[in-house]
Amino acid sequence: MSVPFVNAIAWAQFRLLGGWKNTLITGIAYAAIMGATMFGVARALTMSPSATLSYFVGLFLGLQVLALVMYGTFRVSAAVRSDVSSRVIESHRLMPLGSGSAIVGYLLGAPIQALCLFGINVVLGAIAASGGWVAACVLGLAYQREFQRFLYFRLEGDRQPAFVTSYISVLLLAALPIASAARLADAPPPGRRPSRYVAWVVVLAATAICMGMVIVAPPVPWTAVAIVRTAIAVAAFLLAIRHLLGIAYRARWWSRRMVFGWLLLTWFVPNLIEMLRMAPAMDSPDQHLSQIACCSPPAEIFQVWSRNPEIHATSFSGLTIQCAAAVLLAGIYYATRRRVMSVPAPVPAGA
Amino acid sequence: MSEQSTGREPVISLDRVRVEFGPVVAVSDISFGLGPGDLLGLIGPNGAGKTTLLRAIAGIQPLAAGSVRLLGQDLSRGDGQVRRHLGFTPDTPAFYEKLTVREFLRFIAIGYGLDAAEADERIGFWLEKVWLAEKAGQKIKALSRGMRQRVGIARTLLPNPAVILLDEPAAGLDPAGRVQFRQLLGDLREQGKALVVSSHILADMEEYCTHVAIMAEGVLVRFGTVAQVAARAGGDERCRYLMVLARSFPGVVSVLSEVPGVACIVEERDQISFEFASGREQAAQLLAALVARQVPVASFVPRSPGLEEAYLRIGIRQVD
Repeated sequence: MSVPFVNAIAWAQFRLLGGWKNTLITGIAYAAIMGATMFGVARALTMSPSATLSYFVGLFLGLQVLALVMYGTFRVSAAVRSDVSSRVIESHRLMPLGSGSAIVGYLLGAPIQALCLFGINVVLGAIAASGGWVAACVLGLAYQREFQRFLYFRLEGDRQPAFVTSYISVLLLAALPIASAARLADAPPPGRRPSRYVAWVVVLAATAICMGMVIVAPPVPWTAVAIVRTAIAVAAFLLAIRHLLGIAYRARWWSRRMVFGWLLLTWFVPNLIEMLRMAPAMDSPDQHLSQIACCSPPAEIFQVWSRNPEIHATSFSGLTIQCAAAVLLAGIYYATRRRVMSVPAPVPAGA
Repeated sequence: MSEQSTGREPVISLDRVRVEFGPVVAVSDISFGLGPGDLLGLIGPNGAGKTTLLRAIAGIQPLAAGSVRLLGQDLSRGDGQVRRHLGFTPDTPAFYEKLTVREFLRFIAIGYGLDAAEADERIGFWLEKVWLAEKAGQKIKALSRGMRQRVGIARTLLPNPAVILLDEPAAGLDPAGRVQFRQLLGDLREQGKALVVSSHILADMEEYCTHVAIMAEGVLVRFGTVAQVAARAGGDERCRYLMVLARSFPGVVSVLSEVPGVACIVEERDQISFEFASGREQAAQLLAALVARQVPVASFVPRSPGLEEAYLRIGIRQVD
């Protein structure tokens, strides 16, 4: 068998994960399940497949976060830690490999399955984002309107740019913890200094997000209400995560799983409920997110900076629930705080 | 210790190499050079700093001071490409346990930039050379310690380095494996490689090393050829004698101990060894004195000190 990779570490990690056989089996199985689900739902629901599929864009975005940020990061950090503890990393250091090559090796090789799922999600997400034309072609359904829309490539609303920029942002943000984990592998040999990968990733991610905001959202007036609501949503999220991690640390729970569960509960579930709620009224021109969706920070921020901010400028239910959740976690954290035993003051000898 | 050299143009040279772990100085200002075909045996008690020195030469352990030059280039300042000329096998080599032997060696080959055809050719060659051809498709986790040691040696030799560092390479090898390993070292020397081998098996070292370095508490206390080190340890004035008795003679030890200058008497059945002045005249006088006291001497020979004896005579304290 010829050598499929130039990077030795990527090749080794790829082989450790079972090589082509495991990767292809996983990828094909995932694509089959997700594709069947997507097209099955699109066909089963009475509304337009275009509208149904568009909601899968959000789903795939969520899956991207899971695949890259959670699973991909876990795989990279596990690979690096394993190599450090088994001292295989010393073998790498004897090779004429630069630290950059080593990092690239870990980033490409260890999360190969996550990257495979990412690729499949991109394809499926692109199909979903492009509207119903694929459904029309693949399933033989004659949705002329969607097909024409595709031919003219008339972007409907901000779906396509949102899809593209979201993927770029998520990809770069995913690289942040991955790069952070991979720094373990970059213990500098004598006479060298470690590169500041994390700083570079932060800059790139911030740039992509800013570009995405500019592309996706047309200029929205920076109202005081919008800024304050955004700040509250971000602060509530950070506060909640901070106390959640504190509770996890104290209880010796798995902090990664705790954060994953929290994100699932507060980011994914409200939007899933919202998706199901809005499904019957998909073609209504008066589409806006309800306060159910606004229980999740991203939906709240999206709504605040959407084109019709006045729709929910006076509704604070979602934001209130976010704040309540943060306060609840803080309350649990401080209520279960270990009490410091009071030590009696020393009594002087002879007293 | 001042700079030591084997006399040839050095392939690798150490200049006042120093390694520190906080306040502990593990390797203290060691300097030496090795030329092509030199095989340096590194010996010393546990904790002497042998492994640390090898790791420092390999570039895995940062230096507190000094430098290591490989083929004229400073290892700590180079672009890393010069490292391809240096191979290192630690005492317990680390592997990707889930890979097969062939896969692991292919990983190494890719790391050193070998193309697929050359990699396959070299892997096949070295697997034959370390007697692992039959285990090529077996996962490393299923191998015995000795076989893993062989994989480690194959890993080191695969990129064809000019300098080879082996830390306890014979540990875990069976007797036949040790014989084959000695042959392999001889072959490598003939190819012009410079080798540094750390081992506690002094009899083996005496056989295959061209030079020996004795370390103690991070310091190089002896460096030279095996003969030089052994002779220096023995000293010019005294040596050890082996005397074989024709029959048992109770009281021979007390007779010997009465002779001025005799020391370190060891009696084993009808054989007695002891230290005495190395001069032939003194030896003749001692023999005459023993015969005069009717000690039945069947044989009386001075023994040239071996490496093991030289090592023991240096008086290095074992680290607790």
